[in-house]
Amino acid sequence: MFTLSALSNLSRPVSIIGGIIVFSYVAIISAPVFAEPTTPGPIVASPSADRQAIRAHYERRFPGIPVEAHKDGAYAIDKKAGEQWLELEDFPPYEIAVDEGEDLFNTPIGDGTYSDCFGDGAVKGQYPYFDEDRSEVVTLELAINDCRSKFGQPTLDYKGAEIVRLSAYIAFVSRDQIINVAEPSSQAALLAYNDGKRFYSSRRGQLNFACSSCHVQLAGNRLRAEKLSASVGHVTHFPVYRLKWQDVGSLHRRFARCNQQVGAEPFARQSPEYRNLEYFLTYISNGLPLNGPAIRK
Amino acid sequence: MNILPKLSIALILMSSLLLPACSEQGADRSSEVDKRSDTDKNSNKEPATLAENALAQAWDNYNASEQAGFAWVNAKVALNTATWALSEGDFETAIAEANQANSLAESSLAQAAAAQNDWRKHFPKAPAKASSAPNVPEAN
Repeated sequence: MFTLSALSNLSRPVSIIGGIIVFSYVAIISAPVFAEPTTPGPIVASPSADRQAIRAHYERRFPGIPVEAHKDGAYAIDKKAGEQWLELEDFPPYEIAVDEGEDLFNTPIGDGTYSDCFGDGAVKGQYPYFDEDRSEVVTLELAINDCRSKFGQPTLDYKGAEIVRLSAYIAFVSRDQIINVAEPSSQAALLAYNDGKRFYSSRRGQLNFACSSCHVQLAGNRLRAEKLSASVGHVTHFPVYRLKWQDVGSLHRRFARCNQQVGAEPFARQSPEYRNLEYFLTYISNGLPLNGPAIRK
Repeated sequence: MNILPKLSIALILMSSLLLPACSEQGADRSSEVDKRSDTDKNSNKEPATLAENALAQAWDNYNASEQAGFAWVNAKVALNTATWALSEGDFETAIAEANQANSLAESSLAQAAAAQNDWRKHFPKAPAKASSAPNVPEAN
């Protein structure tokens, strides 16, 4: 049996070795007290590598479902819910919003019209983009207000119905355009892209969830009765008529609601945080067709 | 002659076992002393002042978490309740809610600090071929 008395009989070299072992033990157990928190090295990938990585992830997670099918959100992976959704599309509740949006689109704004800025309105495929001169992401809603400002009109409230109806009309006439956001190349564009990617992957709120927790790691699982959709395709169908809202709402309204659901204070609509997130999500959805407005629960 | 290694080994062994325990006990005792002295100090203050101080501290932490972009809804709810209770003269509720808000705000700040590096773990890894991508600047 190993006892202290046995230790006393050890020769000097053995006791020195023993001392070193004990010292190492002390050093190891006390190390966490003094150690600086370790920071992993930068793990950055180009936007195209991100896009490949996330597409590969969904291909592995949903074998047999082409990535392009995620344009329909959770209905791509929930067959029964998809059938119900298609039946709803026979008499789509967003039609009224589209009609009202068309009327608004054709109403003069000061000395001009929306057509002066957006032609026939089929421009959703061009948004969002990174404006190098302004050094910020420009979304469709931001461009609508820019257009109004150009003709001396007050900007619309991003929470208001008018801007959502206008964007519903623009989304409708832009259907089937293929998302083709230019790969961020300048330093400023990459910063905005990475800011969006970081937002997407950061846990927040009291429930400690990141966007990716539900839509990457848990995509396809159920959250209560609903299946969690893949992030590729999230941006294709907005604005959406949400049965829960009983109205058409914007992508940023959905972002805000997601944040609130995990217990995080939401950001303002069209805030830089949400615009960068939209930029990131739209880039990774490159190649998918636009199919908004749509119906969601 | 053999007494030296025996003593040194025994000493090292005892110190290795006792040091962490002593340090923990010391830390516990010092925090107890701190708490006691805080309580002593607080007992001399008016409840209104205590509530105001608790609320001010909670607001400071909440504002910091909001600045970091990681504010929590329930922290704001507790802050609003505390503010209302204070205006109603219900200092006990005001202090309890302010402490709750402060605790939540501190947790959200810890979350913000953790997110600085942890966010990378929550995004699918790039394919091996693409890992030699050019340096991409990251937002602070």
